[in-house]
Amino acid sequence: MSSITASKQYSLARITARPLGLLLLVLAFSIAVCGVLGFLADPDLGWDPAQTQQGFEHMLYAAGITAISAVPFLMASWRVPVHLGRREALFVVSSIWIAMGIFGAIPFVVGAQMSWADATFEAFSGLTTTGGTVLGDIEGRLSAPVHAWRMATHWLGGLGIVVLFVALLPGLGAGGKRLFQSEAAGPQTGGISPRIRDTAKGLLWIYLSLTTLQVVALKLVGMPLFEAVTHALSTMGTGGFSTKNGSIAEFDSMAIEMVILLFMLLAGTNFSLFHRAKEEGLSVFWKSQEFRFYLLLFGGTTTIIAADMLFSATHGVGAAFRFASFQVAAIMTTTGFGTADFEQWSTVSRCLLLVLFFCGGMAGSTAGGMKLIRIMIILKVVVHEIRLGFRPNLVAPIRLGAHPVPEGIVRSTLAYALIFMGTVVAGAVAVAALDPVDLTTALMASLACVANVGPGLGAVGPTDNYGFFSDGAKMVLSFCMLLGRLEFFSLLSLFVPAFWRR
Amino acid sequence: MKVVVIGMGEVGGYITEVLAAERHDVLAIDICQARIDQISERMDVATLRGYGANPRVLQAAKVEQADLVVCATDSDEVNLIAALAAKQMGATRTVARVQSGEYEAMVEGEGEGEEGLQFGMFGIDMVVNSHILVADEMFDIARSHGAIDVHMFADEKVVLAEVELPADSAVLGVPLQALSLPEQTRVGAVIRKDRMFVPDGSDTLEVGDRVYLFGLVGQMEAVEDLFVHGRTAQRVVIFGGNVVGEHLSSRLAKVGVDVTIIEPSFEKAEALASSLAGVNLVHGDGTDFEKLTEEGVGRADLYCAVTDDDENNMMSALLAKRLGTPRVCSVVYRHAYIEIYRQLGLDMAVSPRQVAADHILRYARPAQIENLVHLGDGHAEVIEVVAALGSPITSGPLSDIKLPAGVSIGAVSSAHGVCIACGNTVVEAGDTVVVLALEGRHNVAEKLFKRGMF
Repeated sequence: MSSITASKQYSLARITARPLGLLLLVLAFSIAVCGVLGFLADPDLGWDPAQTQQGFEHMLYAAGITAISAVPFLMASWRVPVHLGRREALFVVSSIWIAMGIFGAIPFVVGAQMSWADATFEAFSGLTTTGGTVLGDIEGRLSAPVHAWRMATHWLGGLGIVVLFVALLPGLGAGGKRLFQSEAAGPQTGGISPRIRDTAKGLLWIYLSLTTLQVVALKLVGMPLFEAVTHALSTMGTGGFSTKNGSIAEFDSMAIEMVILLFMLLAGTNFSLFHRAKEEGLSVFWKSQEFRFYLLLFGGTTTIIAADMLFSATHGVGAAFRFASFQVAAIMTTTGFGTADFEQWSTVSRCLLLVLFFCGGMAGSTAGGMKLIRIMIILKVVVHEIRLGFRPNLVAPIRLGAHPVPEGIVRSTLAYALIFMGTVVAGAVAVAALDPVDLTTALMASLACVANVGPGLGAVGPTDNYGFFSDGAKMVLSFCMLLGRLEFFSLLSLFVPAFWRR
Repeated sequence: MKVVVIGMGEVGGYITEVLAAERHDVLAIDICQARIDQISERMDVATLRGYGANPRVLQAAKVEQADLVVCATDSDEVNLIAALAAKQMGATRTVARVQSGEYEAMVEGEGEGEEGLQFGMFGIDMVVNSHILVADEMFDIARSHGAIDVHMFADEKVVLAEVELPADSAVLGVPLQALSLPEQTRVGAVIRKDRMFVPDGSDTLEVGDRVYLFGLVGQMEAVEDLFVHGRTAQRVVIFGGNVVGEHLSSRLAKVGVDVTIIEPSFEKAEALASSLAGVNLVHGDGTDFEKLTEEGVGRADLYCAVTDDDENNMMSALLAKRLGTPRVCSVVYRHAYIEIYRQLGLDMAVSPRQVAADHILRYARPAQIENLVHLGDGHAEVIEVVAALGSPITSGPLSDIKLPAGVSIGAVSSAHGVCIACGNTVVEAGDTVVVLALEGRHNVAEKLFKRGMF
């Protein structure tokens, strides 16, 4: 309803203050919950109860600091109406993520005596669901509550903290939609409900259900409760942190691997398909062109890599498929768990994995990477251009299934791909300039961070970590992770001078 | 409530906005991608691009699950077909907006004052003719004594009239409680300098205030005379021989008013002249100063510019004002112009969008609310509510009930008849109450009429 008197204009900072304040409260609550979760750790399995108790106190301390920090933000935003335009939404989402990285680091600083540079890298790596760590010996160094927090950051960042916000806060209206879009994973994410709040609630419900399901499944195949909960959080966010130094390989259980493999694939599926499946039956999965492509890519790559292993006679048939399928799913869904050191694999296999680094999961999932739908659009554009070469007057829109893809989405997809590549290269150059690393390491560290995978090749391979980088390089890589998670445009718009001129 | 709105023009867009703000599930359909994008950007609704009358589009919109389907495209035929199809596919309620007068002939009981709303035509639950509703509203204004806006409530027994106080009004500077208002009348709300408030007994009125008065139909002329010195229009000049002009002139002519229509197209004027008896038809342009002078517009009591063109209406109305017509009103399509009209000194602007949307929204809202009208550019709503058994409003005489701020009780309609609210009025369960609530207060107002939790 138009109003006669123009509503008062508030500065970006004051509009952002309330969402930020609320975020810090949510964060404080989550940290405290992780403190309690730590008590699930079974002392008989090597978790030191004294260390757990101490970790719990650290977490309460960290939660306290976070909660108190929320106060000035909430006071500054007292009685400021939440009206979010495009610009405000971009700024809110970007600042929420940066604040999350900084405050999410507090438990690591307090609970694990890490330096700020290390702690923020770890927090950003967690929240962006990258899963690359700076810690060599996580088992010895971290108490159970800190482990819980480390893996919970994956879960919080996986679906996106903003989704949680939109689901819980009433009265955002169209502003909620703009927030949602600024954080969204991939193009075309709508479709659950006309109202964005119901959409967010629906997604959250699916996320919670799948996570619970995985905890139960892991428990059934013999994983201890604490490990089951934390690994479920890590898997559903497609993160990749583990409580073990040797990742999933240390459990050495085929059943656990298969459960995690299944849930990695589920987490990399477009969540709105689950919602539609409730109404329209399981056929929606098969009807989705992107889902078919997803399965094809997974199955195809697994088969080739397994065949390659058999050919080089390093593994038996069972082992080849076991390691190949798990590693393919882990890289493709950008989770980054490890059961095998894929750096020892043949060059062909590693090249195939490298392709998967770029692809990522489906749009609207918690996976990172470029998202398959974009890959499909790009492939179709390429085919289209080739056909135009010999039939220049052909009029044919780019189609996905029966629907033509709007020109604007095609254009933004191509721009996205360029920014993706550009960021990977720029990140690699920056890392190489700051640290004495070889080409593979620089490129793969940058790619693994931008695509939110975690482990790469070279000195950042599946058995290595990011601890040896200098603080500067860690900050560059943190920024790469954030750019990748927010899909570039949201964050980059803050660096365009015109954004601030108005 | 699940709502599908087809056509994102002025009416459709506005209805979508209001319903989305009230947190209904709304799906907006339009043929134009740019308009869809704009709606999707501004409001929290789902969108679909497509031709509204296409069954496949309706299928994709899942109209069979919809509680309400509103068809408000620019084409009457699309609206009617879409509403029909939606109804057949299983939509609970369907509403179609039409603009042409051609579908008016199907109304039974013509001349009842409700031609603009038809229920059950072709099986469509409600057909709204915004042009005829606009003509009806202008007719009410023409019949009132100097009011610039008139609404009817409680089966046309209660009038809500808006008057703007001139410098020589008799009520200036006197506290409201000291005013000797005629029986069965009351001041509902005041707009002063773009701000609306509900006055209490100690408030005084100032020049330029826009005052909303409640009164029974027979009493209104006396109150209006007290506030402004007006009289029922005897001579009316209408610019525009379209559906609005035709309908308005025929209604006015029936009650003996001297009506002249100025119509720029000769063919149209000729056709109208043969169909409308007792109305003077003049071929000419309403923005032509000479023409207006020649037709003696300055001596008319009321000038109505009702063409389909906002800018022409505005210029023509300004010219009439300059010629000295005491009351000037105009049809305004673009909502944003309404305030400009007021600033230019034009008395009344009637927006087809607001009129149609009010009727459609009234129909869309829960059954307990019987009537709904937006006042003063959305600064207040007037609703008719049925008091529930045990609701706060039935607890005693009105003077003993603490009304929330920004809420004013206008009139009470019970089995014993209709009366305008005063201190010793007692509302009983089942009575229909006319309530005025300022913007954002209608939820608070409605609570008065619902059963408490204790």
